[in-house]
Amino acid sequence: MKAHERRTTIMLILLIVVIIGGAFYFFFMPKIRSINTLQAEVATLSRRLSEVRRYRDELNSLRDEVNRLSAQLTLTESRFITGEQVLTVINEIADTARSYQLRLVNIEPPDINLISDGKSGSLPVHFRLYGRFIQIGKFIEQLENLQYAITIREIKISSSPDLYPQVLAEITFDLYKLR
Amino acid sequence: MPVYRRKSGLQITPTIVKYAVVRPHRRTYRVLHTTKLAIKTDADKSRAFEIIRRGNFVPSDKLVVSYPTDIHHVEAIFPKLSDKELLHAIELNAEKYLTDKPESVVYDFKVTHRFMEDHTLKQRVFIFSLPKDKLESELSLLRTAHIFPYRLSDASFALWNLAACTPELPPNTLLVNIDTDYTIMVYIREGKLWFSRTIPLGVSSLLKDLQLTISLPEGRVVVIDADRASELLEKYGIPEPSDETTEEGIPFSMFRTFHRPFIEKISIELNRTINYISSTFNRDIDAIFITGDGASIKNLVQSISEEFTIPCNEYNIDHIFPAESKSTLHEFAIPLGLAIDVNNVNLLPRALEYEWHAILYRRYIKLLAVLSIPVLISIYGLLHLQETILKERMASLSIQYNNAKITANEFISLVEKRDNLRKRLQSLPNVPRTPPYVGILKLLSNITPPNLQLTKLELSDHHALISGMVAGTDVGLELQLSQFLLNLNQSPYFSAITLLNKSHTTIDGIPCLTFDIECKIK
Repeated sequence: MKAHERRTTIMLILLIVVIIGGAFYFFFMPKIRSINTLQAEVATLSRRLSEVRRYRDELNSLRDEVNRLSAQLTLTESRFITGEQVLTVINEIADTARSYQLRLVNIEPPDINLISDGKSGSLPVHFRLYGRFIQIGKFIEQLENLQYAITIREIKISSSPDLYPQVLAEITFDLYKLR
Repeated sequence: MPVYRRKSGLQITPTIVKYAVVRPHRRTYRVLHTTKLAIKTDADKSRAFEIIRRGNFVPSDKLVVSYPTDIHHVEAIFPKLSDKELLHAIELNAEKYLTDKPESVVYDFKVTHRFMEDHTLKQRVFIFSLPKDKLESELSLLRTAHIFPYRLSDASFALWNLAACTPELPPNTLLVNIDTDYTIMVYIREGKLWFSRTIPLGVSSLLKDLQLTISLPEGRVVVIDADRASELLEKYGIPEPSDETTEEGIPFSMFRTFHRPFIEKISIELNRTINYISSTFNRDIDAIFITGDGASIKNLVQSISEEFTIPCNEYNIDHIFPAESKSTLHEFAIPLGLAIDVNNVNLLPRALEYEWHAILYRRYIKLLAVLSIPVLISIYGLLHLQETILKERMASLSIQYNNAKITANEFISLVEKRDNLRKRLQSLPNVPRTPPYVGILKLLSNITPPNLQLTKLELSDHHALISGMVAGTDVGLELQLSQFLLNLNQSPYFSAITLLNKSHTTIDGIPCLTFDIECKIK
């Protein structure tokens, strides 16, 4: 091979290498980078979309659960009283007792600190009353029908010949306060 | 067919140029193309090269060229040497082995045989040389026609190549190629080239012998010119003795006599060669095989064989090149033998040795350059297409995601709301279930007998304490109490009923039984 032919061949090879290298560096690399980025984004978006689609499938059951919980909360909260309502509710209970011909001897309201402490919890109320055994039973039964949450902690009934046919009942029940 | 498998041979003599292209096909070769062109001057030669180039010539073919008349060859015995040492030895003895000084000739050698003699390993070497100026003028004609040979070899190697492809040859064979201008004889001993000889006697001599002015017996004179001589030779060859005549009226018996000088000359030369081989190598020739233009002349081989006691036959060339016309193949024995390229030397100057490769590489590079642009464009196009598809998919997914995002946000807010509701429900004070105090009071009211009076009842924390008294006759008190206890035990509200104490007393003279009962509320 003559010198100039060799030079031409080498130049041709170099030119091809430069063309291919240049094309790769200036055109292919940015495209490949862009494709890689797009592929990653598409994969992420596809994953998110499949998650969202899964949410959509669970949406109705979630709505039902929220509605049920909301209703349950409203109902439950409505059975609790506030600090301001305590005395009113005690009076209401006392009126109920009276409506059953029970004679109230003593009412011990809850400690004032408990009423105004700003915390949720139970408030013990102690009733001491006289009446017939059957009336006392009906009164207790009626307590459960009140709109407020009331639980009976203790009942003590005692009778004596001088009281007969009445009995002395000491009832301790809990009202429930919400803050 | 892959181009790189093609091989070609080009035989150049002062009067003829023969070109053949073959390709390996299983264990034989398929002849793809043959060209035979008569030449007289260098201009004819250039034209012939141009015709070949424009014909079936492919630059990447491995073209082996021979100039049989101009190559000087010498056989020599050397001790076992490396190729480098051998080359050095030849250069040192240039006057003995080469036609001129090493600077003025191109030369190459081929070790044809190795053997032991006097406990020394020796080798038989064929040395070929050719004056540089002669070669350069020949090669310049080829280069002008843009034909670049792969190798420059010798016709004797073409015959050796043919012999190498014919394993059934006898151990001592004289292979003879009667060409247009020259006859080449090679002594093949057990498949190896042992001796080679070229004589300036060919079919052209026979044609000259036939160019006569003949007085026929009837007194007519017939002139046979060169063209007619060629026609007669082609048509009748060496005719059998008979009463027939040629178109001119030459009796076959007379016509046969015109061939005698050539047959005698060639037989004398063959005998001389056989005797030389016999005296030099102490071997007798087992058979003579004839190929070349001479083998395609009718009855020539038969006429020569009549001059010898040893078998003399036409060489079976169609064994190597099946499915081809035998007479045509004999004419191209040398170019075909060169093309087979089993054993060859290379007399091309070093610079030209690389020419063929350089051309091939340049072609590949040009092809690569031409192909690289569409390939690069295609790759870029494919990448661009992929990017566009991804962008479209991205856009489509984004739209879907944005639509679905509303659902997602709702879902997330609902989950938060649900969690808050659960927290709020959990934060509410616990309202324990009130024991069935009302039921207990009703039950006690029902199961208490008329003469049993409850004096005290304490219900708290799933625990009940019942106190009372039974009034009446002594006999019935215990019974009444037992009945009460039994009723308590059967009730659904109490368990673990324990009578803590009981005592008999009287109130206003009436016997009474006071008792305290403890039990658990279920």
